[in-house]
Amino acid sequence: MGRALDGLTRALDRLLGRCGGLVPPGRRGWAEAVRAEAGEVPPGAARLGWLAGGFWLVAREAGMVRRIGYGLGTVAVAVAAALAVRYLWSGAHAGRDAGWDKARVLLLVALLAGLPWVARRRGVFGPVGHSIAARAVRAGGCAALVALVLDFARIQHFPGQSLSDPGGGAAGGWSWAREVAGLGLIAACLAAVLIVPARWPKVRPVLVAWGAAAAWLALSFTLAPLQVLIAVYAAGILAVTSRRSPVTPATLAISSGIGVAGGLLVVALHDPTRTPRAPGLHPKTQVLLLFVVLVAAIAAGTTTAGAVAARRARSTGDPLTLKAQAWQYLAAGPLTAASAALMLPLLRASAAVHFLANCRAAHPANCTAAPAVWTFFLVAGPLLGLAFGTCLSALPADQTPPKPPPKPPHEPPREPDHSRAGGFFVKI
Amino acid sequence: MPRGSGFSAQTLLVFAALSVEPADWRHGYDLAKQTGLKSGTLYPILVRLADQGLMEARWEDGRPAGRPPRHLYRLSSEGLALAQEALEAAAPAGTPPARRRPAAPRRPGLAGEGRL
Repeated sequence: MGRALDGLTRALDRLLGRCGGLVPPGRRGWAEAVRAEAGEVPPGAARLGWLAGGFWLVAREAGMVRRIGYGLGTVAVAVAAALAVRYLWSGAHAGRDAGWDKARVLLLVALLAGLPWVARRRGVFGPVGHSIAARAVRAGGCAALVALVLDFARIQHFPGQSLSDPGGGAAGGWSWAREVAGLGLIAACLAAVLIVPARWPKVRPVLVAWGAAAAWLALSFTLAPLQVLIAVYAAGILAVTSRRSPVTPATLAISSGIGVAGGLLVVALHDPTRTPRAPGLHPKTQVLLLFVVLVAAIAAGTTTAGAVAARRARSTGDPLTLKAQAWQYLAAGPLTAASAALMLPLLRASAAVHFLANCRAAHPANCTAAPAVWTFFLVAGPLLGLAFGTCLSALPADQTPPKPPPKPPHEPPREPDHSRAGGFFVKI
Repeated sequence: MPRGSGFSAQTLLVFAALSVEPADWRHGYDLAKQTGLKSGTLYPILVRLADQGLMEARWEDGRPAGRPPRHLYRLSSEGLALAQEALEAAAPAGTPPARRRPAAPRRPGLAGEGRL
């Protein structure tokens, strides 16, 4: 036993020496320091434990935990997407709207794989940020989108439910012409954001590009609403979790955590697809309850994330405090709402509640409107969060440090130095 | 464990150990024995303290017989001041670091001066 332990210790020591190369060059000394001390530790389990601690240090310094976790998450999402494609093409899923489902899943796979590559020079959509929060939100968000596409396909086969019926927001059944037109508009919208700033750098590129993108998005939404939603959600997830994103890991973690908790809370309060827990409650009141919980989650996520960002920025004395705080507030609202809306149980529950509310109220024509509740949560939630974040982001502006006192009148005016640098617009 | 000082209990243990003889250079296993921390806990704390400029680190001079040179640590002047402040903040709660903290740490230069 002792000999085996010694052999294991020696092997671990050699392995630690080799793994030290994984650590960035400036920090390899720390791994060597642990090895250098191992000789002082009594042989046996104690020395083995000491070397194991060295491995943990190497794993931390090399970011191996994040890399391995994110790698596993990426593989899981890729497998889920492959299974979704296989399911939708296998024949098990057949119906009059199967074409929509196939288009959605192909669009999602193309976006997740293609966006980071298309925008690789500007880094808007990738690579992923270094923090655990960024990696977890990106992997979790992409997985939720794959599940959402599958859930869209599933709900279409509910009696009386169809996402392509008028109540679902798109007219008529499957149409190649409309699908191609919708996808073309989405592609044009995304390309505009990248091409306009590069081609016309002097013509206020950001405003022009985003204005054109918004117009195209609105037009696309009337043709293929769910495809646009999937595209926007995929682009949003990739953007906020990219390395260039101004959204801090704390904001990502707090917003997504509160959003997911809000979604789960709705299901805990009432899930009409299962045993009703509040039989005396009118279905329309239940819809209102769901919305109230969503609004409360948005408010909590935005306020908490913004407050944390404000506290951290103050403590570090960052000169970009106001801009950084505003970004956290602006990002926290939509992020919280999107996290809540992406909770499939929430969507499923809300759709079912809406279905019950309208069908029992002797309005059978409205029964097909249940999917509209999905799009409502997916669209109105982030918009509401954005509005809430915008209002809150105005609050830190009131904390602007007082301007320096005016110069004494006897001081001669300085010559203009032609500098246009501004503290908030310094590029790092 | 109270965290009124903003540092974890483990970091306070390290502060307390390094504050005993602030001018002396200490090595990792020595600190591990004194604080009772495992290497996987101790070294990340040391890395963070060094990154923040609260601790100085250097390799042992020369080539000692029969063993590799060690990595040595001691608090910087800023780190020592912060450590004393943190330990005093944690002391009323009766935390372990407070019990280990010496009544009056020596000033740098009074001990181990020949090795500086």
